[in-house]
Amino acid sequence: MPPLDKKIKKFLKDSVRIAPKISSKGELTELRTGLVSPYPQTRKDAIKKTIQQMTVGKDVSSLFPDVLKNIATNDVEQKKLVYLYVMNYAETHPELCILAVNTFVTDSEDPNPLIRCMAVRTMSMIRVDKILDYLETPLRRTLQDDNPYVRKTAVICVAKVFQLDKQLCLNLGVLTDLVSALEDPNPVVVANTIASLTEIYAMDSTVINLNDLIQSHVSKFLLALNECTEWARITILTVLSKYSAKDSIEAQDIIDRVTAHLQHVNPAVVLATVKVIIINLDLTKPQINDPVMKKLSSAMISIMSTPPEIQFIALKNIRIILEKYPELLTKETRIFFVKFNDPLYVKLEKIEILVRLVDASNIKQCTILLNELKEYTREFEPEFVSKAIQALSQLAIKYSKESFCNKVLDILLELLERQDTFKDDCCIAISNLLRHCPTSTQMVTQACGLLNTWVEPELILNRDEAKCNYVWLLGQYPDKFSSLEERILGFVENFRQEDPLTQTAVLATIVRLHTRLPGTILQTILELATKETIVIDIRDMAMMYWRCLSIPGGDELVQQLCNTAPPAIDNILDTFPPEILKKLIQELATISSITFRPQATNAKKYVRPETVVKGKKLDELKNIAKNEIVKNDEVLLDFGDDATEENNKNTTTLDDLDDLFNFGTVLPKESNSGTNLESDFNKLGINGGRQDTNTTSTSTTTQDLMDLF
Amino acid sequence: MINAVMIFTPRGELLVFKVFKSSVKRTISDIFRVQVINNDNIRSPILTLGSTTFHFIRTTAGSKLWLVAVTRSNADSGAIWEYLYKLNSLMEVYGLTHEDILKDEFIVCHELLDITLGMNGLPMDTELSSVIGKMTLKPAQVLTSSADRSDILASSVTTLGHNSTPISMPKFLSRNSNRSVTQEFESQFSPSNIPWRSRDIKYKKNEMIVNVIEKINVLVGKDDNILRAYVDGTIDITAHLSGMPMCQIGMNDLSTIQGGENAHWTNEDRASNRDAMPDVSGDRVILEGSKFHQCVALDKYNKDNVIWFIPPDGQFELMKYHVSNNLNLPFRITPQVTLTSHGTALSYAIKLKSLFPRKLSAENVVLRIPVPPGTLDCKINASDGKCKFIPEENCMVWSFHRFNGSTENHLNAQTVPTQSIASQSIKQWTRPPMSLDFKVLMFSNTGLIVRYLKVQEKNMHYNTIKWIKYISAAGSYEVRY
Repeated sequence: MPPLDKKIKKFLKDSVRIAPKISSKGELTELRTGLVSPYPQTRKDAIKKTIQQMTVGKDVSSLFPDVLKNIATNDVEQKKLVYLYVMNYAETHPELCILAVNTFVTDSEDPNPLIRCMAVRTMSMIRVDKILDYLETPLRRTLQDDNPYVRKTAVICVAKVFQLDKQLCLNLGVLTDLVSALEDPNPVVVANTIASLTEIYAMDSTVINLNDLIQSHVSKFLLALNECTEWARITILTVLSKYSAKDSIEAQDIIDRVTAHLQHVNPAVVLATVKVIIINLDLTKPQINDPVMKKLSSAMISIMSTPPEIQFIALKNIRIILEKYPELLTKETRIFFVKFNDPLYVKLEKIEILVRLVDASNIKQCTILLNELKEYTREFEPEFVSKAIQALSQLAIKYSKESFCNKVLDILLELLERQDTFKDDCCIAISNLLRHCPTSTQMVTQACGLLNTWVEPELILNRDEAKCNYVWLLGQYPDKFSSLEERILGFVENFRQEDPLTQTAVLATIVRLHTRLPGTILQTILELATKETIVIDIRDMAMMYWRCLSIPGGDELVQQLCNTAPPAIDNILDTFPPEILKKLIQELATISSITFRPQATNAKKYVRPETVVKGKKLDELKNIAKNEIVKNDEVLLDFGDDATEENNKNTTTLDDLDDLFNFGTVLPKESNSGTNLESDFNKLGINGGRQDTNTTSTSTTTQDLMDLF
Repeated sequence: MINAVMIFTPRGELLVFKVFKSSVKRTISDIFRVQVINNDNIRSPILTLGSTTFHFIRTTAGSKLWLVAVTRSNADSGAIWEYLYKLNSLMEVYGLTHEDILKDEFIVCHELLDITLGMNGLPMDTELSSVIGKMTLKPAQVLTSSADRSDILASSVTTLGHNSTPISMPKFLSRNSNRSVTQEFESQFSPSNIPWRSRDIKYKKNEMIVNVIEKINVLVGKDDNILRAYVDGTIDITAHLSGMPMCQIGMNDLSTIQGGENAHWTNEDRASNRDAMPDVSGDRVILEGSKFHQCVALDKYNKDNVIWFIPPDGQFELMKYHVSNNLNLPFRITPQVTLTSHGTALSYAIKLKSLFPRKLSAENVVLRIPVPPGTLDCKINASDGKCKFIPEENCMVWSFHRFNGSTENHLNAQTVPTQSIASQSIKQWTRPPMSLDFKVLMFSNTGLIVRYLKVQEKNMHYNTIKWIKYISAAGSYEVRY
C-alpha cells in the first residue's frame, strides 16, 4: 500500500465523527460508547459532552475511568478537557483520582509548561493523604521549575496542600521553599508567594511569621511592583498596606515609590495604592497642598469615569477618607453631581459625598450645591428624593448662616406644597433647621404655618422619627398651631400603635403643655405610658413625671424640666467613631469598607475543615473507587429523582445554611455561638432585616428552611 | 479571594458554576437566584449574607447575563468588580454574549476562567493578547479590548481595518531617535521580565494604529449655565509590531498634578508665564488624572513626563485621561419649553447649533426630548433631520444622519395631551433632562493632539506605518430646561 493512501486512511479515521445514537439505555451508556470509541474525534466529542453534563450539575462520575483513559494523548486540547473533568471530581470524589495518580506524576514532567501546571494543580486538589505522598517530588520540582508560570502555580499549590494536610506540609518542609520563593527573580512569582503566605497565615498564624517576612522584604516588593501584572500589583500593594513604616522617612519613601500607581488604568490598582498612601500619610503628616494630596484627589476623580459598581466602592471609600482628610476633594464637588442615568446606589452615595465635601466657608459652592440638591428633589425615585431632602438640611446646618437656612426652608415648603409624598422627610428636615436656628421667629412662623394645615398628622406621617419631630414641634411652638388639643388627642388615641420615639415625644409634650390642655389628657397619657407600653424607659419616664406632678410645688419642677432649651445642633452628618475609622482605613477597598462595618479583630478564623480521606491503603481506595462507579452506574443520570433521598437532602440544606452562616461547627456550644452570631450580624450591611428571618429559622425545623430556599 | 464564579441567564438559569476554593457548594446558586435575580427590589451591586458575599454585574453586550463572584472573606471588592468587567470584555471577544452561545461554547468559558483566575481565586492575567496566547481557541475576530467601550465606539473602531485609509496622515514619522533614553529604559525593563508580551512576535508589515477617543460629559442647567463639563478620553492602540519594540508617544499635554518645575520640562519660558495665565497655556491641554496601561513605565512618566512603553501585541488601551478645562463643546442646545395657554400642553422651541469647524461633520446625532406622561402625539416642525414622537418612551427623538459643522437647526413642537390630563400634573412633571448623542470624527474636544510616536526595535530595524484617528462622542450630554 502506498504511504499516501495510508495517510489518507489515517486522516479519515481521525476525523470520523459518529453521531450519538438515541438509545434506550440512557445518556450515560451513550457517552461511554463515545469515550471508548476507536475514533479520536468521536472520543473528544464525547469528553466535551460529558463535561457539558457535568457543568449543568449532573453526576457523571461513573464515567471516570473511561474519561481517564483519554488522558494519555498528545492533543493538548483533549488533555485540557480531561483535566477539567478530573479537577471537578478531585474535590468531591477524591478516591476516584487515585486511579490517575501515575499519569499526574508523569505529566508533571511534561515538556509543555501548561500541562506541568495542570498536573501539579490537580494533584494538590485531591483530598487523599496517600496522594500527597506522591505529590512531594513533583511539587518540589515545579517549585524549582525553569518556567515562571509553573513556579507561580506551584507556589499556590503549597497553600492548597497546607489546607489539606498541615502536618504533612510541615514535615515536607515546603514552607521553607515557599519562603525562599520570595527571592524569586520573577515579580509575579513573588506576588503569588506572598499571597500564598498570607493565606497560610490566615489558617494558622503559628507556622510562619508573616509580619517579619513582610518587614524584611519591603524593598523587594517595592521593586517587583513596577514589573508585574496588574493583579500581582494589587496583591503586593495589599501586603504593603499591612506593613507599618518605621519612621516618617521610610513612610515618605514608600509613598514616593507607589504614587506612580495612582495612574494605573485598573481602578483596583488605584484603590490599593490609595490605601497604601493613606496609611503611610499618618507618619508623614503632609500639608493639604502637598503634591501627594493633589495626586490622590485626581486619582479618586478619575475613578468616577469607571463602571457604576466600581464608582460605588470608590464613593464609599471616599466617604471614609474624607473623615480623615476633609479638605482632600473640596475643589472637586462638581464631579460628584448626579447624572440622570446613574444607578440609584451611586446617586445616593454621591449625595452623601457632596454634603460632606462642600466647603462650609465658600458661599458660592454652597449655593451651587443648594441649587443642585433642589433639582434632585424633583426627581422621581423616592429614596433619592428623601436623601436629597435630608442633604438639604445637612447642608444648611453645615453652612450655618440663618439666611441660608431660610432659603432651604423655602425650598422644603415649596416642595411640600407641590407634592404629597415626602412629608416625613420634610418634617424631619424642618425640625432640624428650627433646632439649628431656634431664635428665628420668621422661620418658625413660616414652617409651622404650613404644618398647621395638615389634618390628622398622626395619619399623614408614617415614620416614627417624623412623628416624633412633629410632636416635638407642637410642644416647642404651641402658639403656632391651631386646635392644639385635637392634634394631640389624635396622637394619644394612637398611642398604643406608635413606636418608642413617638411615644416618648407624646408623653413629654403633654406633660410640658399640661397647663394648656384639659386635665383628662394628662391623666390618660400617664396611665397609658405606665401601663400600656412595653418600653421600660418610657414607663420610667412617665412614673417620674407623675411623681413630680404629685408632689407639692411639682408644677414648677416640671416646667423647669420641660423647658430647658435643647442644645443647638451644629452638625447632623453621621461620622465614624475614631477606632472604627482607623480600622476602616486599614480595610479600604474591601467588602467591609462598603458596609462600614470593620471586620472584628478577634473574628474566629473559620477554615472549613477539609475531610481528607486518611489511613487507607491505595488498593483499598481503588476498590472503593470501583465500587462507587458500579453503584453510581445504577442510579444513572437521575439528578432530579431524589424523592427517596428526602431525608438526606434535608440535612444537606441545613449544611448549606450552616455553610452560609458559618457557625455550623460551633452550633452545639450555644454560649459561644451567641457572640459569633452577633459578629455575623455585624457583617450584614445591606439587608439586616432579611437576615433575621434566616438565622432564626436555622434553629427551627428543617422543613421551614426548605420553604425559605 | 474569589471562591466561585457563576454565570446566569437573565432569567436565572445557571450556565456556568466554577469553584476555585472549596467550601462553596452548588446550592449557593439557588440562594443567589432567590435573593437577587428573582428580587425586583435589589438596589445594590453587592449582597452579603452571613459570611458569604456576592458581587455581581450584568454583561454589557448581547443578552444581559449575570456575572457573579462568590467570596467568603473580606475580599478586595474593587478588584473583584474590575475582574468581572475584564471577564465580561474577554467573553465579548470570544463572542460569548448570548446564553445559547454560552451553552454551546461553555468549554471556552471554563478555559477563560481557568486562565484568568488562579486556583487561589486571585485574578492572574486578563490582558487580552496573553490570554489569547494561552487559550486553545482563538477568537473569531479580535475586537477592541477596552473594557468599557460603548457600542458606537466599537463599531467605529472595527470599521478601521488594516487597510482603511485614515482621514489625515500624521506628521510624526520622525526617525531621529534618542539613544541614551532608550538605553536607560532598557536597563530598567529587561525584556525577559515583561509578562504582557511574548518574545517571538513577527509581522511582515509593522503597523501601529492610534485612536484618540473622547467622550464628552456635559450638564447644562436651566439658566443655560454649564454645571458640569468634562471629557473622559482614552487612547487606544492596535500594535502589530515585531520583536520587542520600545515606543514613545508625545502629546501637547500638560499634567497638572505634576506640579513644580518638571511639569514644563520642555519649555522653560512657558513655565514662567504660566502663573500669569493659568488655564490658557498656549495650545497645551491640561490632563488630569491620566491613567496608564500596565505596559507604561510609570516611574519614568512621573520623573520626566515621557510616556515610554513596550506594547502588548494587538489591541489595548494605552491611557485614559480626564480634562475639565478649556473644552471645545461641539454642540450648543438652547431649549425653550413653555406651558401653552390652556396649561395642559407644552410647546418646545429648540435650537441646536454645531460649533465645530465647517469642514467636519457629525454622525448619528440624536437629541432625545422628553415629553410629559399622557402625551398622545406631538405636532413637530423641524428645519432639518427627522423628528419622531415615540409614545412608549415618552419622548421625541430628533435625529440627523449627518450634521455639518457651524450650522444651526431649529425644532418647534407642541404636545397633544389626553383629555383627562390635569394642568397640575404637567406642572409637577419632573422634566428629565434632554440628552444628546453624537460622534464627530477628527475632532478633539480637548484640543489634544498626538505630537509624535516613535517606535524602536534595536535588533530589527524596520519602519512602522502609523495611523491616527480622533473621535469625539457624547458620554452623557444633558440639558435641563
